[in-house]
This record gives sequence, structure tokens and C-alpha cells, in this order.
Amino acid sequence: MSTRSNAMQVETLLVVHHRRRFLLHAVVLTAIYGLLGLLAWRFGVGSDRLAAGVFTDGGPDTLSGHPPLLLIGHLIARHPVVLAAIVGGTTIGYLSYYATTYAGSVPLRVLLVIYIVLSPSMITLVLFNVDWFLLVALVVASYGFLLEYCRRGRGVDIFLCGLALGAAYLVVPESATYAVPFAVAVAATAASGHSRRIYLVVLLFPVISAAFGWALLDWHLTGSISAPVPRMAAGVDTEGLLGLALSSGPFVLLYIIMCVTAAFYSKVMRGVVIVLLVAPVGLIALSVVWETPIPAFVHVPLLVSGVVILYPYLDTVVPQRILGSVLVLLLVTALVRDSYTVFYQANESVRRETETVREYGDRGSVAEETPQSALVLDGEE
Amino acid sequence: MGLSIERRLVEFDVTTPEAIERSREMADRYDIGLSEALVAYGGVDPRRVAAESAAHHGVECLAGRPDEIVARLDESLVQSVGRHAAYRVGAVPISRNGSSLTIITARIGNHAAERFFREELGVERVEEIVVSVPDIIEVLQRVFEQELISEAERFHIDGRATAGRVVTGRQGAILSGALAAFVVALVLAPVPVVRVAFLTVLFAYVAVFTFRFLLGVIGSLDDVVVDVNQHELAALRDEELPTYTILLPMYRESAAIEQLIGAVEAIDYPKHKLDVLLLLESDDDQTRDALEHVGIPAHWNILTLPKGGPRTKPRACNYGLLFGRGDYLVIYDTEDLPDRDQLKKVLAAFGKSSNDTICFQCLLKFYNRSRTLLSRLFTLEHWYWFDSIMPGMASLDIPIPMGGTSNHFRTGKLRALGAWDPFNLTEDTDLSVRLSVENQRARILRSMTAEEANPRIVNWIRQRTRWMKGYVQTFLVYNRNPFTVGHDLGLKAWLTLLLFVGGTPFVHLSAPLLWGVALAGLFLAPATLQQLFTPLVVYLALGGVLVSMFLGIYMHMLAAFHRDDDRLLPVALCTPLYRLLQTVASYRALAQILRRPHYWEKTEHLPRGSRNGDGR
Repeated sequence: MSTRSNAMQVETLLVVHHRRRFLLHAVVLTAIYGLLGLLAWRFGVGSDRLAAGVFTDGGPDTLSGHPPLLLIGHLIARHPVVLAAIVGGTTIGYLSYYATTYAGSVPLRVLLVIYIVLSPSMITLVLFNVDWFLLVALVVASYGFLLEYCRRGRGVDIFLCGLALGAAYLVVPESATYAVPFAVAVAATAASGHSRRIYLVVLLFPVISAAFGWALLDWHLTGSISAPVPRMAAGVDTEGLLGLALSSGPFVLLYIIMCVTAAFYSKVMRGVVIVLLVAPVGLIALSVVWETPIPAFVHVPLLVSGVVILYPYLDTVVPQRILGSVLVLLLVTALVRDSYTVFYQANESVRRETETVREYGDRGSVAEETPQSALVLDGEE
Repeated sequence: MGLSIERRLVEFDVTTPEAIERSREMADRYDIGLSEALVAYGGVDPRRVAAESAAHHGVECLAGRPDEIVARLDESLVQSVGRHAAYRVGAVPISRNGSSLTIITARIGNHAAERFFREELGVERVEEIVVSVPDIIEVLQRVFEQELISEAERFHIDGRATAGRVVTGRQGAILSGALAAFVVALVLAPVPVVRVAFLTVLFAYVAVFTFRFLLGVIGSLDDVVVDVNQHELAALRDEELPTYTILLPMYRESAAIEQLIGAVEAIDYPKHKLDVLLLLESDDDQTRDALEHVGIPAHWNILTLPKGGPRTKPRACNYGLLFGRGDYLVIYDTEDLPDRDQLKKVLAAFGKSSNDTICFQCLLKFYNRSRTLLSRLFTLEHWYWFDSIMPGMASLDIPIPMGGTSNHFRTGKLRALGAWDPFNLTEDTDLSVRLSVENQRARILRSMTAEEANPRIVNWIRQRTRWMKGYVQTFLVYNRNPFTVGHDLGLKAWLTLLLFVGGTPFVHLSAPLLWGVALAGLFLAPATLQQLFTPLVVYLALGGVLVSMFLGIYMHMLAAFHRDDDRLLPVALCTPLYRLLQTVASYRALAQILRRPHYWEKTEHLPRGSRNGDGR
């Protein structure tokens, strides 16, 4: 596929054009991840890691303190493996659909699909860290829509970007921070006359609504609106989830790649691209302050997800051979490294990593401070 | 022969030389008779043209004297020919004397009619009496009154489901059985039954909102609205355009008549190819007086609907369809202001569409949107409907619930499809479903019609009550044999029927229950609800109503977004109030569907410019 025709073919970043094929990917992968999760659960291979998930005993024991979206997901799925399989199957199904649709050469497609579908790091992330995985998917989606807005100047992409950010807040409240650079970008486009100030309202409305809604739910349960706040506060210290995310070198790299791509392909609004390029500088500065290593099984899939989403655009920026070679190299390295990490250093390092996530993920939960009668699921003490 | 028609018309001050000149020009351009051109382009009363034409040719004339025509008419002769044939050849046989036949016709030297009657009735000689087209229509209406009524009311029914009977015996038995089972279960195990029922309602409530929202998102991303560019428009030659029927159903619409006439006359289309039919109810003296006062264009025709049957818009449209001569057909409401090039755009769009596309729905805009808070919210709701939901449905290839106006059809296929169900109050939605069952498609065209956003609460509630009743009717009609309909429609379309047509009244009817529990859980002491609802149930109820409220607001924000109207964006925050009104209308509809299922509550329309209406 030529560079030009590839660029022409991509009408929009995050839209599924062939729904049946996407559904096939999603259903098959949901089944695969469900089976793997159940095997891990049954034979105890991943019990330690499963225990590090958000809900440890097959579901939440209390209502308060948990991110609503995850809580609802668990209430519907009833078992962490089921939820993980559905979320993972759908998101990874989307990525594999996208990779098979737009990635250039056949070897690259095969490698991408193998990596994003079956690499140990991706499976680890999907099965044992649903909250992180969802966060990654939603943030990448929100960035994708913002990029699309830059490229086409189409208002509906701001709307969808805001929606993804709002959903991300209901998974990991610290993700509200991501709204800041996005808002700055949109505000800058408004200031430069390329868009309207009202776009900012639309972008932030879902996050504000999510915060309001969560606060209201929490007030209903505990009489206070404090649940997300301690988590946010915990994220501000150097070891919190936010610190982890921001200090991730690959994450920042991904951000920069996205911005550079936007810079080349934002024919509609050059102004916003400048802001998008400046925004990661702020993130880099923060990462310097909060230097903490992020688990490998988080950042590599994140990077690859971003690459898959952006491939059709990168393809038009970088010569295809160079891009393909770099990506193949990246993927092979990632596969080797992740396999090594998972299979040879799994017991200690992964447990440590997941426990870290678990520890900071639960910090600030008010469940323990709340009378159980108001919180227990079956309504009886 | 006496004076020429032109000289007679000028001498008798019927028209001006300029109008005659223009008519002659058009007659030459389109290769039509001068009489036809005088009516279409000279604005001369067709009866007067017929009279002068008859005088010129020395032929008997009965134009404008329908009573006399009917008195001289041999009904059995007309019946033997049939209404369709008579209307098709533009002549009605009125008497026969041996091998000689006398016909009335609007065209002197109507050879097609002569040939037809010679073959059909075996006559040797055909004599013509000149009348006008409105006379022929009136005579046919009088002679075939019962047949026309019957056909307009039964147009749809042959072999197809109709809302004439809203609930069938079988449905009644199933509903009663389900209700009885629920009551028994409630008595036996009240708490679990209430919880399960409540959670089911909550799940359906959120599912309906989510479905609408997803449709909107898909519709916003996928570009499925058909565009026609200037090049495609320019490729259409006026001389080759087909006849286009415009149906204008109206009831007590005196206020907007002038605007309607102006809007239809402004349409860029050869006037002699426009078959404009005003559809009036027999007791609507108000509109008839207004029409007489204003004066309708000479080439328009008025059809007065006979008494009886359901007094609904679809019945009127069916009646109009019986007289429609056009290859294509459109319905406009009285207050509509369509784009000037809409008809041509539709033809160009049909030209590049597949044969299974039988309808194009044009988009709506609202000229009085900033008049009241209600009109603003109404505007947002309809923008979301037309810009997001309908494209979303088109993108997913599921039935598009058309708007009741500005939908353009291939007339022949519309007839074959059974036209509109005269008993259904959302006849457009019913038609959409039927269209899908028959593997036909409706698509959306980017051409605007400006109309009135309903600005007054009482009027709005009446209109919405009718729509909700119509949704319930349609849902029940197509769920008489759910498996058969599901098989015919396919899973996607059947789910749409369930979530959209059934879901719309459902969410508004269930809103008080869900909001009640959510608010009680929020503000009352936990012990108050503990007997019936666990904290989890209350939590889910609260979460459900918050999510639906957010989605409702955000959907309307998206609507304002699409039309680049920043002023309406903050108005979206008032969406919950709008939902409250919808709940009121839904309960009103529920009450009415039991007592007056086919009662068409009239919506009053005001023209642009009245009471601070916005510009177009």
C-alpha cells in the first residue's frame, strides 16, 4: 500500500469502518482472554497477580471508595476474569482490527497482532490490571480524538475526547490531570481564532459531570464526598499512580510522537499543534520531579497501542521502510524483554510491581471509615 | 373561431399582456399548450382559461359548473371506465348516445382520451366539453366518493398490520396474563419481585439512553447524509424533469397559509410539472375561507376530504396520493419553508442511488428557535434527531424513523408499499418499519426545510402526546407476531423497534419511578427504603439516572455543536426539564390510548415572523 493511498484511506482515527470484522476480533479475543484468565485462576498461576487487582474476592465487598465504572463493571460481570476478558477483548480487538486494517507490510501486521494479542505483557495488563488497562485505552482514545480534531477541525471529536476523559476519570480519578493539557490545547485554538471557546466547555463537561456524579454517589453512601480526593492527593506524591504515569519515559515519548504527528498533519489548526507540542514538555518536567519507574508491563503496551493507532499517520510522515524497520525492532525487543520479565523474573518483580499498583490504587479509600451497614452489597449486616 | 385566447384574456382584463408573453415563452420552451402555460405561469384561473379556450374553438364549456356536470353525468358510464383510467387520460365520459360519447376534458383535442374511449367503450365518435382540471377532480370526488374514502382508509391494510385496532385479543390476553402473574408474584414474594422488576426497568432505561447516544455518536462520525453538488444540479434539464406531487395536508391552518404559498411557489421547478394538492377536511371552513381570501396559485388544486374515518394526516395523505400525478411525491407541513432547490436535489440524489432507495428525508431547521426556552430545547432535540440519530441509523442500515415532513418518495413504490396507515399517529415511523420489512431504504439528503419549533407548553404537550401514542401504536402493531416481524426485519432492525419505538415512551413513563427511588435514596434516611431496596439498588438507580441525565444533556450539546450554534449550548443543561414535560406527555398518551387511540391532537403552527420568530 502506498503512503499516499494509505493516508487517503484513513478517514478518521478511531472509527471502526468494518463493524463485523471488529466484532469478530472482539468476540474471539474475549473468549481467549476469558479462557486464559479462568485457567490462571483455576491453576493458581496468576492468583497472586489476580489478588493485586482492584477487587480481590471475585467482586467488591463494599460500594464506597471504588471508581464507579469499575464497580458497575464488576457488578455486571461478577468476576474479575469476566470483566477483564470483556474489556480486554474489546479494546485489544479494536487494536488488532486496526493493525490488520492499516499497518503496512504483512510481517509488520503479523508481528503487531501477535504482540498486542498474545504478548505476556499485554495479557498481564489485560487480566490483572483492568483499571490500568481501561485507563490506557481511554487516554489513548481521548488523544486520538484530539488529534483528529486538530487534523479535521471537526467539533464532534472534541465531544468524544471529552467523553473518553470523563470515562477515564470514573476509572482512575487521577486521569483528570490529562484533561489539563487537552484543555490548554483547545483554549489555545479558541484564542487563536481557530475554534470557539465553547469547545472548552464541551471538553470539560464530562469530567466535571463525572466528578459531580461520583461525589453525589459517595455522598449518598458515606455522607461525604471524599472518595476520589484522597486518591488524587496520593497521586501528587512522588510514588502515586499519577507519578508513575508521568514519570514513564515511554509514555512521554508516545506523547511526543503523537504531537509531532499532529504537527505534520494538523493542516486545519496549526495553532493547536504548538500547544500539543508544548504540553509534553510540562509532563517531562513533572516526570523529572516525580521520578519513579513504571512497570514494564504497563508502558510497553501503552506505547504499542499508541503506535498502532497512529501508524497510518506515521506512515505518511516517515518513509515506510524506516518506520516498518523501527517498529519491527521495537516489537521484537518488547516481546523478548516482556517474555524474559514475565517468565524469568515474574515471581518477585511482577508481584512487587502489581502490589505497588494495588497499594497506591487503594490509598485514600474511605471504605474502612464508613459504617458497613450503609455499604454492604446485600443490604444486610 | 373568434378572438384568440390571448386577446380575449387581455380584453376581458383577466390577465396582462406581459403574463401572456411569459406564458407563451414557457409554452414554447417546454413544448406545452398555451392553456396549460397560462395556468402555470400566467396565474390565470384554469376555469377562465377553459371558458375562453372553448369560446375560441367554439366548443361547449362547463368549467366552474360541477353541479351541472354531475347532473348530466351517467354514473354507470363513469363507473364502467373507472376512476384511475379517467384521471389518467384527463377526461370523464358523461353520456353516451349510441355510438357517440360525450366527455369532459381540460384539453381541447385530447387525442389520448379519444383513443382510449374508442377502444374501451367501442364508440365511434367522441365529443368534447371543455372543463378545467379542478372540475374533473371535483366530479371524480363526487362520483367515486365512497370508493375514495374506502381506498384512503384501507390503502394500507390489505394483508398488512394496521393500528386500526391497537391491541389485538392475543396481545390483550398476554398483557393481562403477565400483569396477573406479576400481581401474584408480588403477593407471594413482594421484596424480591419489586427488586427484580425495578432493576429490569432500570436496565432498560439506561439501555435506551445508551442506544440513542451510541446512535448519535455513530451518526456524527459516519458521513452518510447524501450531498448533491452544484454540478449535479446543473446537469438536470428543466425540460426533462418529471412531474412532482406536493401534498399539503392542513387543518385549521389559516395563519400560515400565505407563508406556505410563498414557500412552495419559490421552489425552483417548472410550475406545470408541479402537482400541488391542498388536502382539506370537509369541516375546515377556517382554512377554506383563508384560502379564498389569500387566493391560491392557479395551478394548485384543493382536495376536500369526505367526512368519516379517522381524521388523521396519514388518511389525508392517502387521499391525496389517490390523485397524485407525479412520479415523485413530497409532503410539507403548512409552516414549512423548503430550500428552493430541494426538489431538484432530491431528483439528483435519486439519480445516483440504488433502486431500493424509495425515500429521501431532508433535514429540518427552525426559524423561531430562540423564541422560548421550550422552542430552544425542541430545536436541540430535533437537531440531534436529524443530524445524529437518523444518520446513525442509516449508517447501521436500520429503519430510519422519518420526520412527518419533507420526505420525498418515488410515488409508484410508495403505492406498492401501501402508503400510510391512516390509523397510525406516527405514520412516518410505521412506514419506515414497513419499508425495512420490504427491503427498501430511506436515506437522508442534505437539504433544509425551515419550520416552526413548538414554543408553547400546552401545544407542545398535545403534539408530544400524539407522538407517544403513535410510538405505542407502532410498537404494538409490529409486536403482534414478534418472531415473524423479527425474522422479516432482522435482529438489528427489530432491536431498534424495541429500543427506539418502544423505548421512547417507556423511558418517559418509567422516569418518575427511577427518579423517585434515586431521590428518596439520596435525601431520606436509609431505613426508609431498606425494606424494599438494598443500598446497591439505590446506588444503581442513582447512577442510572445520573448517567441518563448526563447523556441527555451531552446529546443536546452535540446537537448545538453540529449546527455551530453556541447560544443553544448552555440551553442543553435544561434538558432534564424537557424530559419532565415528556413524561407528562407520555402519561397523557397512555391515558388517551385507552380511551381515544386514534384521536389526532392538532398542533397549532405560527408562520415565520409572527411573535418574534427568527429569520429563516
